[in-house]
Amino acid sequence: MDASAEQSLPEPGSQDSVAGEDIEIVVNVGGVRQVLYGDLLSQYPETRLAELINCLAGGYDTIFSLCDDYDPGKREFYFDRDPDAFKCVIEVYYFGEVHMKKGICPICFKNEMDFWKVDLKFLDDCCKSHLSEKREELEEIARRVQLILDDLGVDAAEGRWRRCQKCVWKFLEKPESSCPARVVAVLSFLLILVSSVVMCMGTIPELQVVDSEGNRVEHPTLENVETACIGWFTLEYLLRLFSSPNKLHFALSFMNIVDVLAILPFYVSLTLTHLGARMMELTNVQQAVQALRIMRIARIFKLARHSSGLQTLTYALKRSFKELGLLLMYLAVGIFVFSALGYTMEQSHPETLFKSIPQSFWWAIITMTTVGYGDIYPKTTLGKLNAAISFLCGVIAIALPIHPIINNFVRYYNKQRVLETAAKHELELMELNSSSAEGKPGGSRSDLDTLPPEPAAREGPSWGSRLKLSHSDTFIPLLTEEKHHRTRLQSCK
Amino acid sequence: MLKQSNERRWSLSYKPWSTPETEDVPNTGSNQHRRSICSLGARTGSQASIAPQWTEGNYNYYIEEDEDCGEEGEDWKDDLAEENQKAECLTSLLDGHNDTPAQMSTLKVNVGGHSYLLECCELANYPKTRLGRLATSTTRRGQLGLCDDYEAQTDEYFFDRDPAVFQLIYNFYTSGVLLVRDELCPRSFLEELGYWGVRLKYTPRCCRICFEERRDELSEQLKIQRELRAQAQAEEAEELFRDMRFYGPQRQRLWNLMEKPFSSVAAKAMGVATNLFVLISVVALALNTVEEMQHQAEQGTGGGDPRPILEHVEMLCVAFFTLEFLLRLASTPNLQRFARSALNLVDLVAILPFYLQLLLECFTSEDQRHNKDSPREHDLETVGRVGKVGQVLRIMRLMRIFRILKLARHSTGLRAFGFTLRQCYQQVGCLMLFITMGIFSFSAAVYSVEHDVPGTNFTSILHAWWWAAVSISTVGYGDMYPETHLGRLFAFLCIAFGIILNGMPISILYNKFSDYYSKLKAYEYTAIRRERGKVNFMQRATKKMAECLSESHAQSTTRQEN
Repeated sequence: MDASAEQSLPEPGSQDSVAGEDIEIVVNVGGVRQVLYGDLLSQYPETRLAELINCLAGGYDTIFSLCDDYDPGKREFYFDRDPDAFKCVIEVYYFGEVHMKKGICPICFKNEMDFWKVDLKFLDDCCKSHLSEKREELEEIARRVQLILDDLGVDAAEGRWRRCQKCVWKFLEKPESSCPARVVAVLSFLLILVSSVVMCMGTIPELQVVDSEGNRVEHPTLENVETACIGWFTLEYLLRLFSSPNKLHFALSFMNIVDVLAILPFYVSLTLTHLGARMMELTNVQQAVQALRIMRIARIFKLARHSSGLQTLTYALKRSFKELGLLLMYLAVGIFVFSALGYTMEQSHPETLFKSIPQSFWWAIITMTTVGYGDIYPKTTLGKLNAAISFLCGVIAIALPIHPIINNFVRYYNKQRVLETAAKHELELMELNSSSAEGKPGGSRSDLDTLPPEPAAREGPSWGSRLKLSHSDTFIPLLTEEKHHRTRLQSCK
Repeated sequence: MLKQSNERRWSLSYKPWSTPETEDVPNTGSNQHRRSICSLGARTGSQASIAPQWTEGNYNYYIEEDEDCGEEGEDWKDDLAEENQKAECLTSLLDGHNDTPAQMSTLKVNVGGHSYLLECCELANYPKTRLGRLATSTTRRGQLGLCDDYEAQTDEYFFDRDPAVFQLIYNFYTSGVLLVRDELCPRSFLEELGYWGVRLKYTPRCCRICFEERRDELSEQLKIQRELRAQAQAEEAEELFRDMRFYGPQRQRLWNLMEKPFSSVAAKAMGVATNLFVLISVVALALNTVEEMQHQAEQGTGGGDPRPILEHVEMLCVAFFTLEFLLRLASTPNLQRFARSALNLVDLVAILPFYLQLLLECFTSEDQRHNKDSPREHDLETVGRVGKVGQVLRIMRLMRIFRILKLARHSTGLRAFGFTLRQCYQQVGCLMLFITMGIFSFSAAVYSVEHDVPGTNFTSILHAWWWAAVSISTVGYGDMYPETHLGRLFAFLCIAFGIILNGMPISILYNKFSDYYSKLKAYEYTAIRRERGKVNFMQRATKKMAECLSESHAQSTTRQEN
């Protein structure tokens, strides 16, 4: 590293030659001494080190406002900062850009840059993306922790009604909160599966019965199961709706719309059969009921509520929209080319299955995706050659864009798990801190807020506040309210 | 200039972390609070030359066990007595000095060859840490109990610890924030923190999250490694044979013969024979179902011998398997573990159907004999029972195919596959769920579009499930296919979804599988090497020695000649 090379540069006595532009200043950051040249530092006048040059004339007050300590004999400035980060930060004077050393936490590095008053724009793009990624992750964790804390916090001050509401909400929405809640979640999961299977069974002709008017209707037992399931879903939805803190937000969220779609067809068809017969013709009603019956399959998407993997899949598909477009485009180009080719080549055969180019689109899709139903197939030699080439191309066209999509999925999946564990750790730590804080109040802890009083008092406010600052600015606001939550956490434990 | 101190005084005893954390530490260090020299630490430039051997352990294969390091190190009070003893002997060595330490404002500390200057008041802010106690303790004896060594001339305290970690702790004392580097091993870092008495809660949140992430990763890795090793060395049970009651050595020999194919030539032959018999029996099972063979057997024997030649092969195989199983059972050192092993279960399943079949046939023939004597009143009933028995027999016969799994005993790849599936059961379950959902929704959609078309195969949603399964896996038999335009659109969507899903197991499972496979292979390799190495280790050593000796001898003779 050039910083280490720089380290060996200063000679003894060099700091005595303070004359004009060739000002040399000596800084000692966390035990690492470094000699810097004035003209180099003044390139960026707004930075802390550049201000250091000018402050020499300004007396001790200005000097101490900029650095932690100053030794007039050696003309050395002392900073209690991380030396490794400093080595990276001073690169800005030599190269005009800053790169993060591997292993340094990006958020801490940002704080160091803030301290040295080096603007964040000097950070190179590659490191910047790292920083933003990290920050997003932290925010996500903080959000999760906040959510969990909100769930945990049952304020005694609230009315009984609110408390009851909250209890029901927790019971239905957080399966991991208690054992009965988990049982309910599993039950609901099973009921979704059962009702879907029952719906499919209802369409088997052997299981249907003929009613008085000669129509085939579902078997009565299946009908009963269906009704029971719908009853459960309705009850669940209503309980959720009643217990949700924000009704509008609840009604508009995606999963709840799915819930509504799952139960709505049943009630619509019920009303149609009872009321609609008077207003419309019977066949129309029956067709509508038939269509609504199929809508019931929407309940399979209710499973997404119980599976984080499914949510991740939808998220990954959403995020890899570009790759999906690429896949479709490759396929579309292939389909057009090969269907046209296939159509022209098959024209010579008298009993060709390729009636028109749009007809042969279907053949091209089936061939390129290597499905091969065999309802349409080429009969001439040239056509077969074309088919062979088309499925080879199909394999390649599919394999290329698929990989990023799945990569995305795997990445999000792993990230999800990491976030979950991180949130858990955070909570454990809070609990630990709170228990230690409550356990021995006023004991001889070496905690920040119970610093031995004498040094803090003599130190003056600057030192203590700096310490606090260096703590608090690395924390996301959530943790500054930590104490508030501590008591909450404690109260519900 | 930088203060360089190249003396490295590593005492021989490397103590585990033990910070006596008693509450009665008086805060005298804060009396001489002056802020003249803030941080005068020095760092040697020759940091790279020091390579402490316990910072980077090779965690691939050699970590033994994973103890759960408590959140912030709970067992502080390790062995105070030992420390005090040491302090006593040190004080006896340094007799000439006054018993109370000089009231100093800076503390000179040498950690692993790097010397640092720390201000006492800064240390005293954290009186519970090791250096804080060092700074605040009043007696020389108490101070000496805290460090590894003390040099009176330079007033320097020596610690035999990792300087790389101490750099971070030094930064912590000066700035109040404990940073965590990515490149440090999380466990050794925790250990060092425990030694210095610095607690993890001083780290900023972002660093701590990274750190915990890495720690989880490491412990996960270690757990998997332990399981893998258990998988590879399931039959490691030498000492169990020592205190065995009956025929200990004989049974051990038998056990080696059966379980360790690399222990001797006979054992190797045994393994090969087992595999061969498995293959033969499976092929025989398949050939049994070929119609021509059945006809031939009937014609050739003409009713004289009811069992064709394949039956004899089958019996031979079963006899061999039974023998093998019984030998294993007889020689096993630990019956419980034997019963729990999945491979032994497979063995049992491979032979059990045959005996059950024999048993059933025996019963039915007895029944028939009975019925011959009795009047024909129960005729219909017996026919029904025989039909049912026939079905059971067929299922039994089918269960024979499971004996192909016996090959897993001798194949690392198959075992690694099983292990991968067990480790990734969540992901596999996820994949299954996706496929189920795709089948459910697309079959319903296509059914609703297609069921009005005359002559369609989509008669019910259950039938459409088959179509959806065949399409989603891009197999496409072509017994059912949509004919309307909307149906074809749905089919295209279904196929596209299937393509995306089909790529998933490759990337999810493959990485882990290859990792586990290579590790399992490596474990087995080392196990085999150990087996073989036992014999000629001495031989090899003597040979090497002889070579060296002859070389040096030759050298000395040439030197003499010169």
